[in-house]
Amino acid sequence: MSKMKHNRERIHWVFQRISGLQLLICFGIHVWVFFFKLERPISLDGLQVIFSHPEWIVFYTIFIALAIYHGFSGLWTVLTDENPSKTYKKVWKIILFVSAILLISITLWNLILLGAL
Amino acid sequence: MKEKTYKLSVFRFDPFVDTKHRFINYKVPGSKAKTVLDALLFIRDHIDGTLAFRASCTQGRCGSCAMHINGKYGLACETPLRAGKTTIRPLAQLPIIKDLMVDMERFWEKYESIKPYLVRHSGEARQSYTNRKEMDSMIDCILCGACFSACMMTGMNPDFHGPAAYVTLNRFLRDERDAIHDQRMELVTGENGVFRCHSMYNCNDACPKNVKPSENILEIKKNIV
Amino acid sequence: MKKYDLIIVGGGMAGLRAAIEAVKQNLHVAVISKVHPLRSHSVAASGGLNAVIPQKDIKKKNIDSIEKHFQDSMKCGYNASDPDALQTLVSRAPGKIKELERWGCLFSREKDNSIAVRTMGAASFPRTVYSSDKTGHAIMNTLYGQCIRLRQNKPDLLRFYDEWFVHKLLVYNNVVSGVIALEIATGKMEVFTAKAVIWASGGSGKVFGNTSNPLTNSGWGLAVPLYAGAPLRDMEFIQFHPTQLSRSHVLITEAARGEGAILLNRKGERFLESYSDSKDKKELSARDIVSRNIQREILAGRGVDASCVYLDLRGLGSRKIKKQLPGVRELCKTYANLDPIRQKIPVTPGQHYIIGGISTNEKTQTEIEGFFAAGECACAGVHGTNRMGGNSLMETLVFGEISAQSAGSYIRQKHHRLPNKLFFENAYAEEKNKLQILLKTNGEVKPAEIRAKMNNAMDEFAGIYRDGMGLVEAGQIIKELKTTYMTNMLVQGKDARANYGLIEAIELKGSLDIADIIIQCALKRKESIGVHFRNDFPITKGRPRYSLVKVKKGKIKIRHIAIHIRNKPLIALFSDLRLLKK
Repeated sequence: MSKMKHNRERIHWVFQRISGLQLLICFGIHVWVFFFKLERPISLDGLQVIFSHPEWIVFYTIFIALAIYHGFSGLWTVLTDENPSKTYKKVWKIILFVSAILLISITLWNLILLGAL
Repeated sequence: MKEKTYKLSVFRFDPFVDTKHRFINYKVPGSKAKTVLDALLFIRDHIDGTLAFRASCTQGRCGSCAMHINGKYGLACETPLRAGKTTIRPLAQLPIIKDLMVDMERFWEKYESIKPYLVRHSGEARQSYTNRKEMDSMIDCILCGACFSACMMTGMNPDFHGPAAYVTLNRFLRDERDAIHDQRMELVTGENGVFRCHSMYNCNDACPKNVKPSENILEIKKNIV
Repeated sequence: MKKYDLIIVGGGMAGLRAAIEAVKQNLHVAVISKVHPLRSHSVAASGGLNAVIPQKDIKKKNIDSIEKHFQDSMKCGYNASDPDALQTLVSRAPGKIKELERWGCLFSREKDNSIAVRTMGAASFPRTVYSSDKTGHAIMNTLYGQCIRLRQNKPDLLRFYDEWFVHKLLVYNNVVSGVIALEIATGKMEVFTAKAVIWASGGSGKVFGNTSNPLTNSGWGLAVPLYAGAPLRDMEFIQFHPTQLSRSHVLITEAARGEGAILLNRKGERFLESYSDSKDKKELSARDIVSRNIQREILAGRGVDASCVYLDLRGLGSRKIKKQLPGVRELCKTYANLDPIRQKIPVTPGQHYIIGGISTNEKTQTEIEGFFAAGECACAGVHGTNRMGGNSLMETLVFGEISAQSAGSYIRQKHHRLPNKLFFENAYAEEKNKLQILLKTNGEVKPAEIRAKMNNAMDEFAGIYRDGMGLVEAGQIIKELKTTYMTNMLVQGKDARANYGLIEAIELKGSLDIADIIIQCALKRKESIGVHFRNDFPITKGRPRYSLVKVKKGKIKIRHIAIHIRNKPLIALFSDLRLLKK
């Protein structure tokens, strides 16, 4: 009966670690892009060249989604650590979830705009 | 020759009388005390008989005298006195009964909640030599409570089991004869369970017996995943 | 007022074992302990416990048997053991190991998964089961785990009262009716009524200064039953362990010598070879012989630092020390600042075990009806006049179990009527009054000073070597201290709440009385046998007798009674002689 709940805790912990690892890899690629692939000095045009390729848009979408997931699930852990009451937790859950979705969609929108320009 | 004296600053608090704790300074002659516990006993015997603290074996085996000494958790009977002032505080996170004596109720309750006993499969399987050897590192825990006090999470979450309980849990999870492996896992996978530990390694620092609770908790996590 | 079927006083190994057995018999049990059970000094037991376990090599001609365990123990105790009690111990021992094994106790193992055994002093075979050198710790955790299990399954049957200090044993018309205890944290006194009481309070070593016993073993545990009318037995027999770290009195287990450590004097000689009684077995001679010879060596001026000899573990090699004796290494590092792998350990003999105690039979019954005693505080005569290393842990388990069985059948057999309420009320008022008087004392001498003087007197005059003159002097000192205690003592805390100073003051009375009894018994026994050695009477006289102490109207009365020897064990005693002739 309580298996569901326990599973969630477990999955949460595992994904936190996996997303962390992937973030590291993505960040490596990101650094590589900025140091070696972009022409100096960095300009909007240079960026546009990169973002006109769909694979980079996909890459950055994943990167940003991961980062936001990792950050917000971290925040959620901090929240559970504080051992709050159930209603308090519910409210925060909704706030965190909505703001995470909002953040992801805003950044995605911006990326697409950047590519389309 | 002038005799060496040690200076101690001891936490005093009586919840029935005092509104605020205070630190009182004592001087203990060097010939009478080698360890912090010797000094505390000297204070109780010869200076102030009202000082309350627990002590029993004086050999670092029973775990009664865990306290906070000069910024570090440890057993008073194992900590040698040093020149300069020694500041002594009780274990944190637990309610104070008087002075250095704290109410360990919650600690024991958590320890007992993880079922610290073997439930066998039917039949009387022998433990193997290799399985027994794996346990050498985790059976030294004397349940003094130092790790429990040092842990951040036990302070924030009263339902968190605490490092000492997890060491014992890991000992039973690793035992090849144990039949309630899954049940034990259930107990600690919940919201207040093992995932509340963020590997801050405070427990490892605090442990006077070098049991390394953090490593044990990591093992449990791996085991669960 | 709290009502129980059975009250167990003491949460050490004997107490916990009794509790487990009592719950299995469906008794309503309370365990009252001065400290949390896992803080009892049983956790410090290191060497191991003796039991004959099935031999691997059955084809071998010379194999260990229960009979040989019996003979070794008997010989070690100079034939002064009670044969019935000893027979019970050795025959039930193997079962106890099996039981602990079933409960998951982490014994050390051989490579073929069998339980490992080592040789202790005076044993003719390796038969000491151990868990590196933390055997007590392993067993205590197992037993306490079982108690928790029982409590989780049957929550209304078992209740622990941790940090409750038993103040009085209630006896009405020679039938036990409960105890009065003081909760240390709150200073509150409470009456516990019971149909039976099991006493498992452990040792009383703090009567001596030079002891490996904890602060809690004050002597009060023996004094309370004595005040209630239970006679004590064999109180002159105090075992001195040969190897304690100098100054800090931390015990270095006999297992060290069992694993091959040797004793050296200042010149680096293995001096045990030069004494006739320890020539054969050397370091593995009985404890009394090794202690005496170390003391002799020190007195002859061949010791180190005036009061020590060296225990040399270097021959064992670092791997063996790390595997078999990690605790010894840890203790040496902490308390003597040396590493036994490379350095010799300075050791000195010190008080270790009180062989005497509350007089019981092999069923743990005492002279008071419904009052049972087990463990170090009891004396069924198992150890005779000298205890064999490893027998005492086994004693706690065997007699702990038996005591609960005896108590169970006693409770079921008889129709029990508790004395009327007035009796309890009076007793409560009396004890409360005593406490108030102690709290009001406003003399000049602190309890610790009295204890220090008592310890000095006992160390000096009632130690390994005793003589009449010294014992009389010690008796005089104790008498003076008793007067000081009654007239001129100071208890600083005026509130019973969490007042360890008060507990110390209460216990001191017991300590003084027990010290007095030890001295009187030692004076009365004008011979040397086992651990009791009188310089003025260095030989053993006639048949072994045990001594029985009663206190009547404040006067100590000691009788010597010849030990009843049954025919069967007697045959067992000499059977190895007959084997030799064949």
